[in-house]
Amino acid sequence: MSGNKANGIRYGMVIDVDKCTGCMACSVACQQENNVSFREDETNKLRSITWLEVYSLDNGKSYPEHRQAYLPRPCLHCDTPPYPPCTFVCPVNATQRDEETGLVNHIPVRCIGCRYCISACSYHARYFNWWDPKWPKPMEEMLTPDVSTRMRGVVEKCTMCVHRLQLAKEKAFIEGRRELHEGEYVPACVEACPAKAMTFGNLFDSHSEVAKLAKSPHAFRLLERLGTEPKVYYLSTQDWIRKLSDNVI
Amino acid sequence: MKLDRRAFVKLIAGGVGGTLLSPLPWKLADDTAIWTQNWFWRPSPERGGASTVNTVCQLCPGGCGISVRLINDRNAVNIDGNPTHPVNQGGICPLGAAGLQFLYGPSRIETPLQQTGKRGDLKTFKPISWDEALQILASQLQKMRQQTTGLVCVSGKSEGTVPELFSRFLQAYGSPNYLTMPAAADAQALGSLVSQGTSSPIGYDLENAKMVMSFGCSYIEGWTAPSRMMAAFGGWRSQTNRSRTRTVQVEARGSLSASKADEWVAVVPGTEAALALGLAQVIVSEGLYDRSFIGQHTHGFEEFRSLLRRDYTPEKVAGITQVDKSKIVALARDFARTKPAVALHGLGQGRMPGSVYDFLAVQSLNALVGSLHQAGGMSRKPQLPLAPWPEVVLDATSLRGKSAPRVDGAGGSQFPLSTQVFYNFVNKAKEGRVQPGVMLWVYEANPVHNLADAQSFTAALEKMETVVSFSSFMDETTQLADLVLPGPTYLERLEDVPTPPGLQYRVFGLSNPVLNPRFETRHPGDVLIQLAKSLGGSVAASFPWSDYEAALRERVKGLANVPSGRVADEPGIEPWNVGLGQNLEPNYGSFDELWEKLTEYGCWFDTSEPMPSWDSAFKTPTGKFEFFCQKMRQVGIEGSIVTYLPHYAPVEPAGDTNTYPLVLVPYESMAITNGPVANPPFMTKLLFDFQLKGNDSFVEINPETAGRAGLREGDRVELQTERGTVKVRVHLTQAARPGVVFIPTGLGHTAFDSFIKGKGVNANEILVVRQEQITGLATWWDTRVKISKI
Ligand code: SF4
Ligand code: SF4
Ligand code: SF4
Repeated sequence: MSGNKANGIRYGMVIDVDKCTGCMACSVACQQENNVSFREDETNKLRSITWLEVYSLDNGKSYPEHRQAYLPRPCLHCDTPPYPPCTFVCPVNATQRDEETGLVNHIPVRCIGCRYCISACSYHARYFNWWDPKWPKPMEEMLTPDVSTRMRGVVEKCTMCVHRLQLAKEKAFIEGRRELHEGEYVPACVEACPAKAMTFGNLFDSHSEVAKLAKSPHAFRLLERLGTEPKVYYLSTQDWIRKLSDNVI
Repeated sequence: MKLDRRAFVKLIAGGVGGTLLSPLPWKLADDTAIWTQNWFWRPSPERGGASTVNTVCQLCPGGCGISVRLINDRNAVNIDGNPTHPVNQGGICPLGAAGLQFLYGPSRIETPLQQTGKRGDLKTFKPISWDEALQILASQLQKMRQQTTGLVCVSGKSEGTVPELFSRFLQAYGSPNYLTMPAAADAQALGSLVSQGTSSPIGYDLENAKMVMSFGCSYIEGWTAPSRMMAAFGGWRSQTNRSRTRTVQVEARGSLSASKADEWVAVVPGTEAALALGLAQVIVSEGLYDRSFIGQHTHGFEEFRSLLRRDYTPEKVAGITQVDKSKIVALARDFARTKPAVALHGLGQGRMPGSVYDFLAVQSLNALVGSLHQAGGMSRKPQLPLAPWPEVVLDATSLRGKSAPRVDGAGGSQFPLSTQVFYNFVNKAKEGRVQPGVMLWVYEANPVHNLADAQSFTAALEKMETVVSFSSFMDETTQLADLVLPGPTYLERLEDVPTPPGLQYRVFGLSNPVLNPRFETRHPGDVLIQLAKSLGGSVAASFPWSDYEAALRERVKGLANVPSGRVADEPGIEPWNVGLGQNLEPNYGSFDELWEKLTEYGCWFDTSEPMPSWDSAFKTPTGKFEFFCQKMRQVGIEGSIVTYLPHYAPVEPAGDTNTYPLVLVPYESMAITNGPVANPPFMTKLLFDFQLKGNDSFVEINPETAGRAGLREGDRVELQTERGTVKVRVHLTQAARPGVVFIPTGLGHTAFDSFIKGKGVNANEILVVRQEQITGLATWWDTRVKISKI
């Protein structure tokens, strides 16, 4: 059933927390790329939709030993065998893992809004549309046709910009290729990062940058002990950051 | 279609228990979900062919290359960084990424507007045609031709052909009163002038430095060119580069710049320059300085040495900065021994001029270790080889205007060195001490919101006869205008974006219109040319071009005439690896080809200008780098010998310590923009709920300070300074220095759209501005404040 042990493609990401400047360009780029809606008051964070959420961490020490860091968190596209926790609980197959790529999708038009997946996700990576999204008049024009807008009553989350994979595949197909080159499919957040703190690619391709970084001695994943096998890795040389990654965020 | 989803789920839930094992209800639920969710009011974006157009971002002076994705060549749907652009290397900052929210923002101005009622009343703004608008302006300017110095222009941009056209217009018309928004660059220009003889902006060869010591600069939070700094930082933290660059942040707040540095040196706010002098003293007394440079190319070293020995021993500096003596010594040794090492100047994002001596102190550190005009050090931002425009044609009136005293007193007997004294203008105008009938032009700036001591500028505006705004957005300043001549946004207009601040190599960015202007806007360059033509005479003769594009092309021809330079047409170009002084083989054969490539890629760059050589580097009276600044004495600045040397010259915070026991310090970050535009919804959304909650913004204080004041997390407080009072909430954090209140800038808008208006308070309303005596430069870094629970 689970294809996650087979050779092939496992798209994943490595985020270097030490390089990250906390600018949040990644998160803004994601909103623009994926038609994420916004409201006048977004300060109730339990109701706010941010596919790529940036968490604020600190080492808990007093001034001037205090240090802070920001940790960007997309959907981690867990490789949990046989299913990721969120897809396992979905009653209507609105969310599944594509075993060819390892990407965990979510199809809003199938979603019945039961929010089981939200409770199943240990990383708060899923969001619920409590309202119908509205764009003030002229702003509708900046919506991209590559990603459909969602509606009240459904869940949404980071798709790893799967539409970009689609576009890259189409391009390759037209050029008579079946395989993508490294760097042909890059999510919007990774592309935006001005510090180049994010790296994306096929974790199964040992020559890829992302696979090399994921094997770094400084690499870690969030809540490793849960066994969810996230495909998003983090890098940091700071012990306090690595320790925090095992706490519940 | 009005089916409440939760009711719907409940409805089916009753049947679930018994039939859970049957797939039928799930299948049905699934199908129903699909059918019920094609809500007709859900926007469906227009489909069509996609294309990408390269241009340059102008939301800050950073000058990043961007690629805009368009559908049907008309709907812009995405902005990415342009990987061929050397400044941002394909990256982008959050503001740049949210750029479409300005293009399609609800606060765009659609036509010229005339205020027909009371200033500030949005309902009495009357849309007028461009012909009418230009006629109103031209006839007023005709009338003022006897008192031309009454025309005052405030520009938010300091470089580029459009600000040049503004200042040219003032010259031709006959007014010396061209001002740019205050900035750290003002202090840098003055400091370079007195110590090096030229007032050129600074360039830092950061990509080649091995140690970077930042004196209060928010170096990854918006200082100089933000994306360049973040790209450089990413390079310094490279996983593969073994000899990584070390960073030291000298700052009072445990900001991201501090936390991400290899070492954070926590100082008393405003004493950053004192620490620089403390390091200088150690370097000098231990003989760690660059003897050959100091011996051969500097003037006044002995005087500087005695001053250091007298006033800046580690003991004394430890007293001022509250940094351990041993740490000062260690930092100094480290800085002197790591080569190349560079010290950075400009507190926060560099929006505050500060004292000229602060700059001289930081610069002296660079001079001592031999990092001046050296690879990996501090130098000048190279000038662009643009072709000059013809001389301005002056008639009797404009000649009179040219020699008339400036409205802000710059260059006069009180401020002989200064080229502008912004707050003198503000204060004089506020007190009604400027000539009657002033017409103020505001371009790419929002001083009513962005200037520290915002109320003073508003009060000054009230005294102006006419206020003209060239803004694309209904910002705070434009709301108070009498005439609005809206420009197109950066995505709809042609404009040059010259070398971003802080760069060591030449960059010429060309911002292309990626789509047709959405509204009845007009390019400010074109407006000025048309205005000049209708004024006739020498003013018209000074603007001989048919339109702005013709004027711009004329200057760009200069780039085609130099033997070096390239259009950045492939990803991964790193000019700092080429080496300064290296010629680049042009990848164009003629001006036309250059222009065509520029419009395709957006960026020309060049590395051919070498670091200045010692015999020509310094245009000072001695021809050397002057620790002892002769120029100050020459222009008649009087004082003891210390006056002419780099020293720590704090301007005491306003207010007495009994009434105002704490210190208020503003902080800037990438999360809230401080430029002429307000935060876009995408960015405001990402503020933490300890920064903004509902409409309340937060100030940061240390738990210990909070404890003494009986405050707990989230409490509502009133902040009172000599200038005013605001209500905020408190966020307790160990990032805050005890005794200091840190307030974010950029919030508290009273204009723009419902996504930002009314959110938080404007720090500028309670910051107290003080001016340095000899330069008139403004400081507002620390203000005494009282905090009381409400
Ligand atoms: S991968 Fe795409 S969808 Fe996921 S966080 Fe990044 S930009 Fe957003
Ligand atoms: S864009 Fe890059 S530097 Fe900025 S917050 Fe995201 S990961 Fe960090
Ligand atoms: S750093 Fe400045 S120029 Fe670059 S993308 Fe951001 S706002 Fe635009």
